[in-house]
Amino acid sequence: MKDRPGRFASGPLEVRQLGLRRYEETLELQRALVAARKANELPDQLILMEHYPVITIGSGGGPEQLNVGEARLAQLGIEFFNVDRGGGAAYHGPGQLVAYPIVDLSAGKDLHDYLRRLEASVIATLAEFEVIGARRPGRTGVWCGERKIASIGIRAERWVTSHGLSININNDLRPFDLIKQCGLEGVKATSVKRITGRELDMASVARVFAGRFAAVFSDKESICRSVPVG
Amino acid sequence: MSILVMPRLGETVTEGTVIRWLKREGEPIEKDEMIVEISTDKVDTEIPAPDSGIVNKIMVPEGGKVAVGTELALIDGQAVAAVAAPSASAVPEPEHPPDTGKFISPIVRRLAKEKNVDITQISGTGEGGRVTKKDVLGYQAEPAVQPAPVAAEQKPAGREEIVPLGHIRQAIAEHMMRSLRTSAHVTVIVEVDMEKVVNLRRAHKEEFERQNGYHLTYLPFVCRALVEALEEWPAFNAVLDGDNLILKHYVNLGIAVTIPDGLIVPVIKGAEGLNISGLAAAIHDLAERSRSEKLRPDEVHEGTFTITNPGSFGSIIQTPIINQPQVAILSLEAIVERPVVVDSAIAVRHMVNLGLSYDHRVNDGAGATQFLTGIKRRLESGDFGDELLSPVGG
Repeated sequence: MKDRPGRFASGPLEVRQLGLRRYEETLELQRALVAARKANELPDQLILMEHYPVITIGSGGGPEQLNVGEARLAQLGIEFFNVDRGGGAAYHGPGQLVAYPIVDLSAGKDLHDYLRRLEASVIATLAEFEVIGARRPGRTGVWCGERKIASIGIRAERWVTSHGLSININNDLRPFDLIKQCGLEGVKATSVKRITGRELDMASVARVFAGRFAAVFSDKESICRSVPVG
Repeated sequence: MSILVMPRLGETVTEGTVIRWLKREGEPIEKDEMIVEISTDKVDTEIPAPDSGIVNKIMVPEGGKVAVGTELALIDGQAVAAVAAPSASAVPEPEHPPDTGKFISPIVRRLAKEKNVDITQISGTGEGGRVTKKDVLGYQAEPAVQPAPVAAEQKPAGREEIVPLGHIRQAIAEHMMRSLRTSAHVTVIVEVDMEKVVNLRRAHKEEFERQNGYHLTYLPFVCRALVEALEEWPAFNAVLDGDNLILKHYVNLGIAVTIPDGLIVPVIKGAEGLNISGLAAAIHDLAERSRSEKLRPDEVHEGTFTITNPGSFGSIIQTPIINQPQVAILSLEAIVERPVVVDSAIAVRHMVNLGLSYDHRVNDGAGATQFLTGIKRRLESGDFGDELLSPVGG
């Protein structure tokens, strides 16, 4: 990454921890926050939560990324939404940390730089729990070996972001078999629990992520040097 | 008329996909109102209109991939200006005029009309060659003199240039490095006497071209010999999967084709069922469609072996990189006349080098050399005559 002025030089970051929420509910919350952020009524926001089981597909994918019908998803108690973000199919469920940053990128105006910083935030968070995550060129997200541990899908309106990322911490990985992750055949998921054998306290993970996120976006030099990036 | 171009959405963002037009042709739009949604990698974003006006023309359909700087739509600013008829002082000139030089602000247009000047005859000196008020007044004062060349064009030529890699180039870069990290590459080279094949081709090429409408090259002969050798030595027609070698008892032959953006490897599926005419037809078809970007996605996958033909550009030795997850790749070099010793006498023969890069994890030098000399013997036998008579099949 190149030198750039810190993202939050002009204002604070508000972090909200929401706990376990239905996907649809947070979709509405995001819309409201984006409108407020665009109107400059709020500073940058970072909302953190877990979702009840849900599969979403962004503009980069279509129904072909579902390995089962919607009826089967309903039977399994998994909600389904087509959503207005980049990227393909994603699964969210309890035990997975979901982060939706509503931040104004108009100072840097670089969408891919934003993706790289989200990855750096995740890698730094994982390092705190003794998991080494890495980038893979051309495969946005964070990977542990051949398996994917964090997924990213973003929307930006007038450089104000919404949607975000999810990191597999303690969650059940079996539902990932229902989708083609990133639209690719054979991409397997992993989690902190699968790698370390430990269950983490989700509130602690959320706190660590908020700290790493703020650091990456305000003082990326120090953070980039201290974490392994692929 | 102002032009909406695909903006640069970040330092490494070289292209995007049009997801959705939020306005249709003929609809009015305000400056900064959202006109189109673009997706790049995992990000969707909305793009605002550069000016107020009527959406005159949408130039890229939904789903279209575009490079940064590509023209996306035309917005006719005059259509609105004519309706609004604002006073001269009330209309600010747009802050970011387009680069095309075609845009003429309402003030300038009105001034030109007042002074009875044909605005299309004026060379603009404004940003991007735009006609300014000064140009209109200047033109009137000295109508016979052409304005001086635009100063901006005389900037010193740069000695360095930053060219972002396109997505094909990036994919090739990633694939090549991954292959080098994955396989233990060794290259073995044999020299092949092509005299018989050269004579055979010479005897048939005119008839072949008349029947099929394209040239008969040496590549189908080498492919035929290669396919036969792969059937005999399946350890080279295989994929390494962990600790298992998966032998393929069919040949899906990848042909490396040079395209403007780099290289693509379309695959002849079931190449073992094709004779020389059939291979020639398949190679011609895939190469043509590679260059015209009309390959289907499934036509570049599931190859079991790859052949590359750097000899067509004149090289005589190259050590190709294996196309993962395959375990070997063959390069066909240039056929050149050389003095060689035949029956204890010096003769001039058409000679060619075949280079085989193989994965030493899977095969050893002895096997690789036998496989390669199998191809050599087949070509030197020159026994392909019948296959040129029937146009396809085998």
